[in-house]
Amino acid sequence: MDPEIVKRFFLTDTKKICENESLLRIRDWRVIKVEFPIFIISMLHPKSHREYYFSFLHDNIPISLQVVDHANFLPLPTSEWPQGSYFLNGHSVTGGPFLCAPGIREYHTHSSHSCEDKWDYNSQEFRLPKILDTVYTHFINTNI
Amino acid sequence: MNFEENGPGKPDRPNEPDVPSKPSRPRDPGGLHDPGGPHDPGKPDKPENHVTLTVITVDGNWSDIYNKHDTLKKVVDNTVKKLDLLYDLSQYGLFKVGSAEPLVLSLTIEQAGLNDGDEMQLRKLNAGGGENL
Repeated sequence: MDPEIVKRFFLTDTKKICENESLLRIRDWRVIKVEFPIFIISMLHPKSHREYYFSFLHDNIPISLQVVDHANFLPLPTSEWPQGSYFLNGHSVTGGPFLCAPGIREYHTHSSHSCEDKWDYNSQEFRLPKILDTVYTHFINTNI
Repeated sequence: MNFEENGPGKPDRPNEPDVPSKPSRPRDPGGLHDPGGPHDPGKPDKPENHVTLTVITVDGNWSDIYNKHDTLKKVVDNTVKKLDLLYDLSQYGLFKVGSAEPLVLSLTIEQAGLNDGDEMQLRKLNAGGGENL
């Protein structure tokens, strides 16, 4: 996708999220970093009250997702990711943990989905707000 | 592909990292439309059977006044229309804040036990996953 469009989406969508105080409050989200092409947001698990940092690499569409360390923002190993609800390990390309959900880059680059045309999905599903909804829905259904 | 736009704290947590570019947030909620309620001196009080409800989404929020006998489906439909949301509503649920169970949209606001000023969120019921793995 055109890099200028990707950046415009980033600026528009991160602003939309950052300014939505009600959304951040009711979902226990906290914006940590907004610096193109990185967007990091923390989510508090409703059961364990454990806080996870989700880092979105918005350098292209689909957006890539990693769970990162609170201090240095480096990717965490599988054992430190939420467990269950399509948070999986052993991506066919990266070998690492990933969230296997449509709209997220790691889903579309996985060999199991190489036969799918990602553009069959609604284009809005690839924008950051919808990705956050997807991650959140999976996250609150994890075992931790 | 059409990538058109679609519409317009928790207590402090300890050990916050040094965030180099943490954005500042305005005090007022972003994207919250407030049509005016009973405390708005410029508008008459609501009738007794009317309530103000707010629906919060990742694409913005919408507050409006409803009759307690309106169904929750009407609340959702109105929100989707006002925010120009391109949602497949079969994949979305309306949740009372703090609840994990989606509200039944055929219920009226009164039947659902909602009160004036209540907030709800419209979010995905099931985000889907890689069933082929």
